[in-house]
Amino acid sequence: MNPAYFPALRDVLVHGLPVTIEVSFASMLIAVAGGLVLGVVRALRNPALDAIVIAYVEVLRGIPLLVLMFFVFFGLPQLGLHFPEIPSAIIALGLWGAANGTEIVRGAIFSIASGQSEAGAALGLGWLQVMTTIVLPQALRRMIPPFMSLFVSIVESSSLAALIGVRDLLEIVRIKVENDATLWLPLLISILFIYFLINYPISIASQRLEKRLT
Amino acid sequence: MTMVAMSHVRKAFGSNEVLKDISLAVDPGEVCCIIGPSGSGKSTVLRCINRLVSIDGGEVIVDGLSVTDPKVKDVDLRRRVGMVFQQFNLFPHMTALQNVTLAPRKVRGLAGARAEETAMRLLAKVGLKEKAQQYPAQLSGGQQQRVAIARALAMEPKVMLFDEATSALDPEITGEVLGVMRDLAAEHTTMIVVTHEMGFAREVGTQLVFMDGGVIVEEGAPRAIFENPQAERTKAFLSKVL
Ligand SMILES: Nc1ncnc2c1ncn2[C@@H]1O[C@H](COP(=O)(O)OP(=O)(O)O)[C@@H](O)[C@H]1O
Ligand SMILES: [Mg+2]
Repeated sequence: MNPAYFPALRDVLVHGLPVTIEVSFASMLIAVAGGLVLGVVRALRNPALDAIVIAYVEVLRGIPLLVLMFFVFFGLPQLGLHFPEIPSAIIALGLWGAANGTEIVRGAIFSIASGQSEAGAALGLGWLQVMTTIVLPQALRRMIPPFMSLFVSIVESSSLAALIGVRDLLEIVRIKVENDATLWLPLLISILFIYFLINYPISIASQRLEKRLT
Repeated sequence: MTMVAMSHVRKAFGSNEVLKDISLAVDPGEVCCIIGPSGSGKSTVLRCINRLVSIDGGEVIVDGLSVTDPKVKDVDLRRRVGMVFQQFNLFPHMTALQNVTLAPRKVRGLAGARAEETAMRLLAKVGLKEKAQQYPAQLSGGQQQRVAIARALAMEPKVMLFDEATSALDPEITGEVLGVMRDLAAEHTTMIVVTHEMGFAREVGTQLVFMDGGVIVEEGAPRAIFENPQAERTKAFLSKVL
């Protein structure tokens, strides 16, 4: 075993792992919050708002995530908007996640039988009350599995941030192998394992949550 | 004063004219039963009364409030009108008790304890006091529909609408729901009941309406219509269902 492996792995874990977790976690929060807001807006069935949200979702899901990240980091500065590496990665990944989150929330809301909101309305509850006390509590359960797969995608896609210079797991590995190319294989295998260790608990948590809410 | 007065109500869904000039008056304490083939517009009539459906023409006055008056808020109308659906539409994530207390708390602003007290009294009234903590999935169809009736009553409505409340139930358990409806009628609750239960319409109804193709074909005293229908379409319908 190459003696440089352990110090290199140490740096990957100490410096790279927190960054990967920070980028992923912040993006997940934006994906959930943005998805909830825009998904509920879709439930208003207002044609003008629908058009705006549909355009947002389709555009963000239609372009490669890496191009979006380059756009935020290299493109926006030309418009006078400068963001450092990590915020750029979070903005791109968060906006992309929110687009996917919107579809998850919308799908779950529309899967709740119309008789439910009708019964709420007939009792005198307002639109927002029907949404928060009747529709969302039921829809939330159906959102969990797709949101968990979205979280897994977000963790995986966070590695794209290495390409705009974010010092995440992958980027630290790339820096470490600059002086010693034989480290490629052991370090890559190591971070594959780390990505798995992050994602596996998400799957488990998803199954637990789903069971508890049924 | 008339509790529900519909005059010349028209409603179309796209090019499908569902209600064509419907006029109907229901006085306090009356039990108005609406019968007729499926697709004749019975549910739509009920849904115009609490604005679940907006009307295209004519007028509906509920307890003095006009459904076409933009100053009348949905909540003002719906507090006066209780509705019971064919599919119960109980909220599956809430217990029977929570189903009944939800609207009193959120709409009438009752404190939790007050709302629960009223709810328990209503659940007892429909014979389900001991099921208060059960979830809808743990209840039989007949029990769920009785909870749904208690839920509607908890808003202390002036008029109760029943849209085929027993149609989704097995024949042997329709009786427990019809029994609750009979009790309400005996207490002079104003009710508009869309039903296929001809026995109920005949014995409990004070007024009978036969609808077909979006119009009221015949209306009057239940006994008179069952024994001596005037219109050909009424005769044909009754001969099929009786
Ligand atoms: N929301 C709706 N959109 C379009 N068509 C509807 C809607 N509700 C009812 N209809 C149509 O109106 C007609 C009458 O329906 P309904 O009032 O439910 O009849 P009934 O209760 O007598 O069976 C039917 O042709 C039905 O397809
Ligand atoms: Mg119907």
